Amino acid sequence: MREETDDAFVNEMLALFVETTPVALEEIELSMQNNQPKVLGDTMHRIKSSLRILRISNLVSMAQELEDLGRKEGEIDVEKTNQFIKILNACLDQMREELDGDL
Amino acid sequence: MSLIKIYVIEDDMFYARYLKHHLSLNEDNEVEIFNSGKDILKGGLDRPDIITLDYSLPDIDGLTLLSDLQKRWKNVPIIVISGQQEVSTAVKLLKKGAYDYIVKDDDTKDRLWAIINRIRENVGLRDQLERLQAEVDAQYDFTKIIGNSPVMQRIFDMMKKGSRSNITVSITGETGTGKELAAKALHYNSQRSDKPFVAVNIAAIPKELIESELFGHEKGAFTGAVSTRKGKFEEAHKGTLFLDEIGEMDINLQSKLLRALQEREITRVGGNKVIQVDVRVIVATHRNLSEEVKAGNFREDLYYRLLGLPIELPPLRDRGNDILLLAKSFLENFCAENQMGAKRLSNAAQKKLLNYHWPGNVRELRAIIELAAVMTEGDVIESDHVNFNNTEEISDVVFEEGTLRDYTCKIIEYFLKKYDNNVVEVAKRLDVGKSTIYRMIKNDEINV
Repeated sequence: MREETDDAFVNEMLALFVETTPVALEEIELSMQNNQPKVLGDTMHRIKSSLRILRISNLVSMAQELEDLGRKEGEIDVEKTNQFIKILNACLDQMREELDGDL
Repeated sequence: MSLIKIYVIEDDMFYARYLKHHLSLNEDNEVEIFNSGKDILKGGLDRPDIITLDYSLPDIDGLTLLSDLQKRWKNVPIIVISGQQEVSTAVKLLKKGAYDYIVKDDDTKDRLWAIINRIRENVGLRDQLERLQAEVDAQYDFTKIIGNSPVMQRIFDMMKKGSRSNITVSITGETGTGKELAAKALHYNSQRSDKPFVAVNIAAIPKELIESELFGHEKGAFTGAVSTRKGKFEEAHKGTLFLDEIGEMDINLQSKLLRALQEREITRVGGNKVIQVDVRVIVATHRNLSEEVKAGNFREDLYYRLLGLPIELPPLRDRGNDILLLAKSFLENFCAENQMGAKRLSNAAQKKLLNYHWPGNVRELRAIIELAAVMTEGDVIESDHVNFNNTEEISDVVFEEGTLRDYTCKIIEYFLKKYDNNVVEVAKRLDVGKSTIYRMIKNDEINV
């Protein structure tokens, strides 16, 4: 069995997150504009597992709340969603910096 | 352990990559990712050993895909991974045959790892079982059983017919003719081949124990019955029960056997519960059961119940060149199993085998060939290496049909051999003229 601690793998995962998350962010913003709570809930559900793997705990709990709200097709919590987007963008910037530093 | 092929179906590329990395930590896992239901359902994929399935795919719902995958790759364990922690979903999936259900949380990878390790062990056992089953199937395939003689071809034809139904088959034949082999061939070529074949030799079990052996017993039914035990009928449920030497069964037990066969139910010794059994019965005996019925040793009603499809296996001496085919096969197998070089039978050895009367039939032939292989230094088994277990009896010289002249020659040959070619002594013992014997020797009618 190989060792699980693998820097190359961690970098690959960060890069993959940085590459795929903007699409999810776009979906989140669109769902807010179009008032589609279910779409928002589905996107939160998808992004949640990636956040969990990266251990960004505060975003995991926010994503869970927004997912639950969206699945109930209640009103979108715009304030919380915007806060989520803001923190996520900050995380992405930090990751990009780390990745650039490694290069 | 061999490579285990794992298909990961996951639309979230990030999560899919994460699972692939984690599962590939075991280098014996070969992991392939599919990002949609459409991708996995396309043709040309090898059968995997394990599938992990994301329950919420964008193009097809998890339950439908689970069912499609089960139809496509029967018996492949499918582990469903879902972001939703809903008991009803889990129950629904497990009822539909999902191997396990995992929620995406912090413990997912560890739980998946444990489940896959458990499956790996089962896959190893399954492969072993399939290999053994294939070996057994090949061993008892009708086309692999040796016998080109017309009499054996007729037997094979009957066996094929017998294997297509559940008809009771009664096999008769001298000792060593292969009655159990025939019973196994019937079983392993029948619809019941993946169920148990249970053989019981009635002659080998003490009379007082047979009832318990066949029908089982309850705890405390008799001294020594310390626990409840299933009998052979229950062990053979859905399969085949082979009752060898049925002619040796005690007449008092025959009525209980008849009831079990007619009613398809049994009761354990010391028990009251009636147990349903679905068993195909094959019986064998070296006795003539109709004679046993006449003698009052065998119940007539049971005789007719067991008669079913009668198959009479011929003695080896009536199978002509099958003797050589069998001998060559035994020789090849024995040499291979014992890492000996290949050996062959000389013409004289073959002739000697063909001229013997084989009272022990195929079993005796095998023993003689194996002994000959051990005794032979080189690669050719000569006539001298073929030693029959039976010392030659005078009855042996007349086992083949012949004319009175043939028999006379053989008898004189036998006595000449016995008395060291002393013609005077042989003439005196057989009350025949010395000149007659000398003339037969001169005319090459007798080999001295």
